[in-house]
Amino acid sequence: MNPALQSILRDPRVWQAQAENHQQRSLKTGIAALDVLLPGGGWPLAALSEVLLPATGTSELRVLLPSLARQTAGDGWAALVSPPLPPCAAGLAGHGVNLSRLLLVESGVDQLWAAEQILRSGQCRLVICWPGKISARQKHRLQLAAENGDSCCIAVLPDSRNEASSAALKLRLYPGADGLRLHILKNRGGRPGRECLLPHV
Amino acid sequence: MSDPFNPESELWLALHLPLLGLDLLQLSSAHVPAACVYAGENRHQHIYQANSRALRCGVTPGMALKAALAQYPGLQTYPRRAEAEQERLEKLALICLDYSSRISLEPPQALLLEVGASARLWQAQFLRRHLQTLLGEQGHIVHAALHETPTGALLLARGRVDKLDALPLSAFPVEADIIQKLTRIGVRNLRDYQHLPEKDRILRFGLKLEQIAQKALGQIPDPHKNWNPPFRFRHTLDLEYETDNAGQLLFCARRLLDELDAVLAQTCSAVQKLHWLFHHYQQPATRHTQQLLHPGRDMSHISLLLREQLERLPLPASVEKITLQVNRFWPNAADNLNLLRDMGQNIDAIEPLLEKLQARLGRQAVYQLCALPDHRPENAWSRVIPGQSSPPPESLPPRPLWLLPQPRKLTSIRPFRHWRGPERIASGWWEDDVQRDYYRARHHNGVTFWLYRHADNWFIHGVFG
Repeated sequence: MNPALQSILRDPRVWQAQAENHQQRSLKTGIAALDVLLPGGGWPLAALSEVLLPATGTSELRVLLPSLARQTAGDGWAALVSPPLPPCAAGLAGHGVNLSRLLLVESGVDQLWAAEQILRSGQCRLVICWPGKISARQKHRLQLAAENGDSCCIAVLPDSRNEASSAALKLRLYPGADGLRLHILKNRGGRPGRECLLPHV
Repeated sequence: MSDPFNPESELWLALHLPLLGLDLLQLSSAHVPAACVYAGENRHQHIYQANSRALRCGVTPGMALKAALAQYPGLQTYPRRAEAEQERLEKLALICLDYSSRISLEPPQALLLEVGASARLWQAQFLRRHLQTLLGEQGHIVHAALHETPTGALLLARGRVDKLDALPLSAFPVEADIIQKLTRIGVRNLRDYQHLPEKDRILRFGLKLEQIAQKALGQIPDPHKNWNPPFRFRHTLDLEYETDNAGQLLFCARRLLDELDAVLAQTCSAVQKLHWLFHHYQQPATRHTQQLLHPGRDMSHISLLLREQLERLPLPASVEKITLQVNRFWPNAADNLNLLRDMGQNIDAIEPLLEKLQARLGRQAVYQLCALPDHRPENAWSRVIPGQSSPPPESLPPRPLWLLPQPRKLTSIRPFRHWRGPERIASGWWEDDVQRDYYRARHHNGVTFWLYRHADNWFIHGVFG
């Protein structure tokens, strides 16, 4: 590298995006192929992430399961706020999720309020919600709550690519012939547009 | 006065409230118009207590109510509320609990405290003045006196003298005609009385007076019933104006919570269930019960929960009174700090969050899953209160991640490929005979479902995701 450039780079006043990226804290997704694509190596902490689903889909738990299992393994808590269907206890436990550290909340119209309270409390590191329709302002509130509680908020949403959002990560899921494809639409501090594959079981 | 190192030596402080009935009405001070409290029924109504201005106008306790009104027609009269007096005595006793653990209520209008132990820390006279001021701040006229015997202290406080010798006989709680008899033969105080021959005293003036005198002088035992703080709480707050505004109600409810907090502090207790009653005009009161996950004493947390609930509580009309009732006190475990606190479970840390969610969404809405040992998938789980550890389920063949609340009938199984199975689930014949063959199959949209066949029909029961 050019020595002149190096001397500039050594100056602590110069902000370097690359150096910043390494400091981003995250919760491992537990999917190695996905972790390498994310700048922090996992779901970004203190931030909102969006998981976008095709119209008919219930595949999000497959992507979220490894991180749920990791999060509930120790003393930590994870929360599911208003899941669309009752999760199956045996199914979750079979994937290593500790059921006694998984909080479920049925909140109806108060879903965003509940998610915000849980995020703000900082007691649950991982909060997954299914808000259905959500405005950019409401997303921003979730983002602020996640920052406040230093937790990771994952909103599972129907696929609508062109919506403005303050989320740090946008991940689109779609079924492929060989498995579930994860396409990174937005990746704060990293490169978007890459994808990985979660093969069929 | 008392020897602090001798446990036998007791020192009693009597707090006598001569105008308790009027104190409750805030009519006992010298600046208010002539007022009295009367007792008795119908024709036997008589003056029970009168304030200083009424006394000056010639109204004396014991006088018939009609006679008093004839004497001074401008006299304000109120019926006596004995229950309220007793309640107030208990409230004052709670305040005194800071200074002595041995308190006895002496209804109708006195408290007795054993202060021999406190006198080691406080000068006894200082303590007397201190308590007198403290109760004065609660709106009471207080006469206080110290003595080695409880009866002696009570008599001194009633008679407003320092020495038993000089105690006027009118301070003795005996019938008026006995006092009259004594006065007629020139006996004015306890010393004069003692100079009479003992046998004569009992014969002529009765055993009761003799016993009181002997108790006061410490010649016979003088037991008093110890008062224990009540392990319940009920208090009603009258609102200054009717309202149904949640914010205003919360403000008033906080005052009740403050009072509860004071009681809890004095009894080292915690609460788990709080019963609120919102009284309406000419309508049944609205009830609301607050339940905490564990007994606690954090009033700011409780009022936070109450705020969530009040905003949702349907009130049929505006509220004129609020009652807070707690029927059971729990030992306050939070006061016991754990040396190894950080090593404990952190269920405590998440509790305020759970309570907050439950306050708004209802108790059933916040739960965790628990796997049950049942082969039928729909019976193999239940909802439990968060924070309970559940046993890990037995290992089963792969189970779906989502379970449909009701199996959904399929019209065709053509879109499904990659069939795997079957897994036969048969059990529960004693309840309802279940025998199903479950398959895993992938729909052409890429989602794997959990299907079973029953009487030539196919059903979806779960989704693998």
